[in-house]
Amino acid sequence: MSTLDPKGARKTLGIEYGAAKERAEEEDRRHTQLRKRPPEVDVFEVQSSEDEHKHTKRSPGFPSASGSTRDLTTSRSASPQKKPPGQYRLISPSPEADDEEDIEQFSSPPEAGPSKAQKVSASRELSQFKVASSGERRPKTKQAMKKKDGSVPEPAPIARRGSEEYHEPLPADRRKVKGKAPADEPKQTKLEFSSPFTARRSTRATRLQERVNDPSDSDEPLETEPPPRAKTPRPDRNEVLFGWPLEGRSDVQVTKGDKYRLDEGDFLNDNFLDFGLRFTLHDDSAIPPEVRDKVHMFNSFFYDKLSKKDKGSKPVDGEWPAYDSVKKWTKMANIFDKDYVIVPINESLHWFLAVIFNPRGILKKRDPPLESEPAEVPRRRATRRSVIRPGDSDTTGQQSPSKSPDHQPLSPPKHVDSEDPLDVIDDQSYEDHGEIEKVSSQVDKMTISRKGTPDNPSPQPIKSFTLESFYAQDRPASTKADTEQAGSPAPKGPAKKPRREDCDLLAGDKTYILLLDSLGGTHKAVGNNLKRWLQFEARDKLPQSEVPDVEDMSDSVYLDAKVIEQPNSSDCGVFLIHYVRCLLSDPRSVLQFIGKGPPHRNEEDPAYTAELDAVWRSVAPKGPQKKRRKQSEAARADSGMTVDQAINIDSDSGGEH
Amino acid sequence: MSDAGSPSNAAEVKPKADDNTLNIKIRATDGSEVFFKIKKTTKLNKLKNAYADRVGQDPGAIRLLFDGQRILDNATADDLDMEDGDVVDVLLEQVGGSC
Repeated sequence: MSTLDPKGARKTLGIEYGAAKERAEEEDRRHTQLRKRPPEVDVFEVQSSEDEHKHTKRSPGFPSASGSTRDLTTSRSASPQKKPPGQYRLISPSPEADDEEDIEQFSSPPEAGPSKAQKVSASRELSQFKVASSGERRPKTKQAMKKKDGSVPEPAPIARRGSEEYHEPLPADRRKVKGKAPADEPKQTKLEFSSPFTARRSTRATRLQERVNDPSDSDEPLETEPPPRAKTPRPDRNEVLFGWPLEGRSDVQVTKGDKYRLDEGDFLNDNFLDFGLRFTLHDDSAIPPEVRDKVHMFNSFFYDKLSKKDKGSKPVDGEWPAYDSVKKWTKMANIFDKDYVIVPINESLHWFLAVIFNPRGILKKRDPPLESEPAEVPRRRATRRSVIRPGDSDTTGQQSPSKSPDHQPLSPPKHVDSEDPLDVIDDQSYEDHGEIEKVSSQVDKMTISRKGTPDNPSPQPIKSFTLESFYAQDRPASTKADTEQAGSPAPKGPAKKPRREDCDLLAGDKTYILLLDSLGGTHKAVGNNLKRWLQFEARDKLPQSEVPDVEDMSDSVYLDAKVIEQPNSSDCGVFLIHYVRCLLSDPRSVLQFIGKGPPHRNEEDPAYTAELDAVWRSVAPKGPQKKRRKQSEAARADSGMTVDQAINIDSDSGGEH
Repeated sequence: MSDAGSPSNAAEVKPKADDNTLNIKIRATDGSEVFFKIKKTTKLNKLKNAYADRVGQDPGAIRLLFDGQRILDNATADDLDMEDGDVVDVLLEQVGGSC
């Protein structure tokens, strides 16, 4: 261990900021000094350099520059009122300590040491760092988490606020003491990184042992009376509780601090959300393997990056910086081979879910927007088919494919025709729809073209597509049509007017962007962003021969899915996971349901409500209990059970529900 | 992205990377960038902690992502096939219940 120090090694190992070279060198010198001490606590040294300054000022008699960490500790205990609380934590012995934990412990102190903690420790004259760390850190941490969860409007501010809260005491402290230390932050970093050698590290236990045996330690007067609290080691809240999946490389890790997010009324964070989604996805009892293979799941940061305003919310001249920032995220997968792209979204302290269904649908050539001559329609369609979907076949005149879905393979939704909304309009309603006036020219064209080829089914998809998008985008426009009740499970009949034009998601080859919000919100911007992302993704990832120009790509259809909504103000994350579970365990019925036009607000439709319940509660035994299960799981893991055991038990019990 | 940005950036950082070390750029959502030099075998939670320390964040409140993958605490640059000049995104913890 003692050999590991070398400055040179540290240099290579250490992380340096490109910007702060001189400082780094000065740091280096200082550090080299520090390095000469017993190597046991490389991490401490990071802080100790500052401590030294403190000590040199406060208690000049102390051997500052050459003092070992132990010295620092001692001096700290000698003048406890000054010590930054974090340091204790550094030294705090936690049983499962390994070299990572050292780092973690080191880094967390600054935030976790409010002045209150200092006072407490001072009053105790506690010399035992263990005490301070174990005793005080816990409440702080908890408080911190509560704070974060609390009523703050946005995530970013919260996080910042949290760190400020913890940070402030410390820097102030340092500033007082720091005589020669030019800057604290960079210094720390550098120092910290200078000691990444695993070879050098002893286990925490060993180190403790050394300290105990060290006479200099015993010399310390304060160390002789360890407060009782010191005995219970407090695990670092940043310590990893478990990773998921358990085998192979983990996608996500849940930390001990995250565990508190499972408390009643607490909000889930991204760790749990990602864990929940992946847990669900790999739950064989819920998700059929063939469906799983068709799912691409983004983590919750994908949309965060894609929607960054400063990246430019819209493409300019074919460039879209926000897309570039996530361009590599799909390097391992071709999302156009998938049926479902799951995009969990966090905005304004709220989780909701977007699902891109059938992403390859946009690869069709767009229907001619306004100047569509009927003659051109068949040609375009032929082109589209040859490029995208050569095997696509028209099943003309099929009455209601959605009602007999069982013989339709779900994964490749190929059927174009179906009976779609166009029929409805054509049959009965286009002349009496007031909303059509709004887009009169467009609708006129469609009507004309429709009339022009009344018996030819091929134009159908094109027109129905346009019309559907129109309906989807302009929902209020269909108000009139809703006056007739249409909640029955068979909304296809021409006699019934749907509230929103019903879409047969399974029968079309369009791309749908489904929005599932447990607060019932509408997020059209999300639909636009994701559509744009799909276009860029196609252009970037697929061979050019397969991809029409962006302008020619089909539009996607944005749908707000009607879902069961959260009964409280904290569970949207859990609901999001539940939606994914429902959708993937029975995609057909969920998609069919989503395609139906929901009743309007204040409109009673028992049939629709019943179906809503049936769809979203079909797998309810697992979904809603997810949170509780995770909680118990975490508790088990915490209580010493291995994660594997906990998960196994958990999934066992899950099967029984 | 790193394709375009890395050459010049790496130059600034003076890419003296030998076989064993990498220059890594950590890019925050606000566009700020910090360069680190790490060993390929260094566990990347050290990188996270160093960055958190540098920006005054709780390491538990930030997430590092490399090409969309979370960088987990025990991963190393080797595990993730990082190359010199690669960019790591840093994002803040997301929390949500409702609003």
